[in-house]
Amino acid sequence: MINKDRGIRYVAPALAVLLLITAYPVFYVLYLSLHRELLIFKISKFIGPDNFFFLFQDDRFWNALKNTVYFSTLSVSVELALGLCIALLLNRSFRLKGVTRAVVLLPWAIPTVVSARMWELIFNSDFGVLNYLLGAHINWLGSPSWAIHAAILVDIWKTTPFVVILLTAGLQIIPGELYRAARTDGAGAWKVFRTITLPLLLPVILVVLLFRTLDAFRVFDVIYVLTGGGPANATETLSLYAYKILFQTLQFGYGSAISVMVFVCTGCISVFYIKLMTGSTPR
Amino acid sequence: MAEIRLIGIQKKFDGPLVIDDLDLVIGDGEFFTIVGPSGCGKSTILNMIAGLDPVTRGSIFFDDCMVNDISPKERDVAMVFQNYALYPHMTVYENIAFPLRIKKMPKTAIDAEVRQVAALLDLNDFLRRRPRELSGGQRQRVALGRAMVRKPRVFLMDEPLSNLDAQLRIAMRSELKKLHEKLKITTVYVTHDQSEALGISDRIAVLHRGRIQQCDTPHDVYNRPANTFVAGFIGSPQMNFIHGSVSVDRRHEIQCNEIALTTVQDLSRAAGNVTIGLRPDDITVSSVEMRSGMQVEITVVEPAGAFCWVDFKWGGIEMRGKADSEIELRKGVTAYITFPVEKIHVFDLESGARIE
Ligand SMILES: Nc1ncnc2c1ncn2[C@@H]1O[C@H](COP(=O)(O)OP(=O)(O)OP(=O)(O)O)[C@@H](O)[C@H]1O
Ligand SMILES: [Mg+2]
Repeated sequence: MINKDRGIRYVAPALAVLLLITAYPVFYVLYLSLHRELLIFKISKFIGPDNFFFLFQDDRFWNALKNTVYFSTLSVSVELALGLCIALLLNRSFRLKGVTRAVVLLPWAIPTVVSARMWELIFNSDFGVLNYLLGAHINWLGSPSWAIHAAILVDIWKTTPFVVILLTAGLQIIPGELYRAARTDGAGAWKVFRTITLPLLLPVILVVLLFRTLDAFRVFDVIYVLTGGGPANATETLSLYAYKILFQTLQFGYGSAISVMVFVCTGCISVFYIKLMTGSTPR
Repeated sequence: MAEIRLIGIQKKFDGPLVIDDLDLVIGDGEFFTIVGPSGCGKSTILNMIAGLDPVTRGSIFFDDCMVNDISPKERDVAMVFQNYALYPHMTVYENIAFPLRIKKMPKTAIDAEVRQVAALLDLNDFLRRRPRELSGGQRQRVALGRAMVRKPRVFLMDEPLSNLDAQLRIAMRSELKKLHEKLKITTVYVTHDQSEALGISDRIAVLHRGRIQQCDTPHDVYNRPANTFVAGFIGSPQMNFIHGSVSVDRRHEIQCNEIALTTVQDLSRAAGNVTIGLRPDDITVSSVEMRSGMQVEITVVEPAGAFCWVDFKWGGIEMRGKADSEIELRKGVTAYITFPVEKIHVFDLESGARIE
């Protein structure tokens, strides 16, 4: 008991700081989401959950949610698959391993805004490198069906290295002896992967998925720079929509309601993964 | 089941040769033991036989089939790893069942096999635990179980009993022996424990610095060690080594400590300095003066149950012998030693090779 009390006293300052810098804005957004706040007209009025009722009838919100889910699912799954392949390759020993690792990490080191700008040039339909290489005339960023995939591609290019780092770390703590044991026990490469590598890597994979899904779900900068949400809102995600409502139209109440929805979604995702994690770690 | 032939094997990692020009034939169904000090390359040899490490040079045959480029999976060997290499995410049951599951054996058959092996190794109470919840000795038995559950062509065992308590070790030793008698699967066994090696094997190879010093039956390795290394390594406590000299005209006599020892060996070709080897087991220390007994001064008495080990000085040379525990011996007391002449081993001083 004494220990517990003392524990609380020790963490109290940290908790206070956390409350101040996290809880306060969170609650303020919650508070705003229950109001009609129109800065230009100096309107500020409590309207209860009206913003949310309106949200559910707002096609643009559903469109943004759909884009966000599509973006997150596709980019995270490709990043995981690709990251796993690269991590497995990097985990072998070969010459120039150090250099290769550094090169793989490069995209992650470049600020997103810079890399998005760079990709914007690559995607340019008139003088972009991509069309030049393909010998095609695809309007990557201008056509609704291509644009979201272009954004996903940039996200994959940028964040796969992050996945690779985490997975490589996870692979390195698997003792090499286990692979040898499995091979003498008669397992081929695929069986070794299925029965040894994958289960032992699972906790790390779940951490990767958690981080990456949360990040992807709140995606903003890549799309803001690349397409600004266009064409025809085809790449508009929840964060982008919230940003536009908040800072372009200054409807603080409604914008906050969208933010609250993002918060609720990410909260659900976190709980889901954390449940999986506690289930997957061996006793 | 298979005969294993290693021909001209060399192995090096990054540095110097770890195994140098190894030739070895392990007969079909043989229980073959490799002993040697730490770092001499025992595990390396097993890994090469298993196909886990490639040979740098030379070839390995299973019967008439060259297996250099054949994967561990196809070599069909079962290995007990020195540090167990248990799968941490699987229970004891799943660990033992793993090789059978890989072979896609039916579930009921797997269950029967696993339970049988678990009973043999006294692991029934732990089947649902994970390796991290086991003691070292229990883990080792799981590692053994994972190999024993298979019926491979070759068993490779890297110090599979090193972490068991003395009693269990002896019990497991005879279980292994029984298993081998039943299945007659070629077994290559690595151990530090020379008494284990002597007790369990059909033949023993003594390895030192990547070279085989002697490869013989336990009886011959013990009684006719090929050189001073083998003589010192096999047998516990260690053999006593003393300097002696042989003169050309006396073929059956060694001068040692101002005494002439008569030998059964013909030493005519070994004229000069030699090393004499005498096992403590063969030296009887006694407090009563015996015929031909040599006088010694006792330094340490170490009771070992039915008898005592006695350290003594024989004219300045430190040696060890054996005494009946009934006899009163104390430090500083004068005693007498005898040993049968046929138990004297003679080695070349320079090369250490045995002289017969
Ligand atoms: N993967 C490796 N890379 C470099 N050197 C190695 C490697 N494995 C073993 N060696 C070296 O090879 C030599 C033989 O090693 P090995 O493991 O075969 O010894 P051992 O006889 O099994 O010893 P112990 O009784 O301690 O297990 C040692 O000197 C060791 O340092
Ligand atoms: Mg070893």
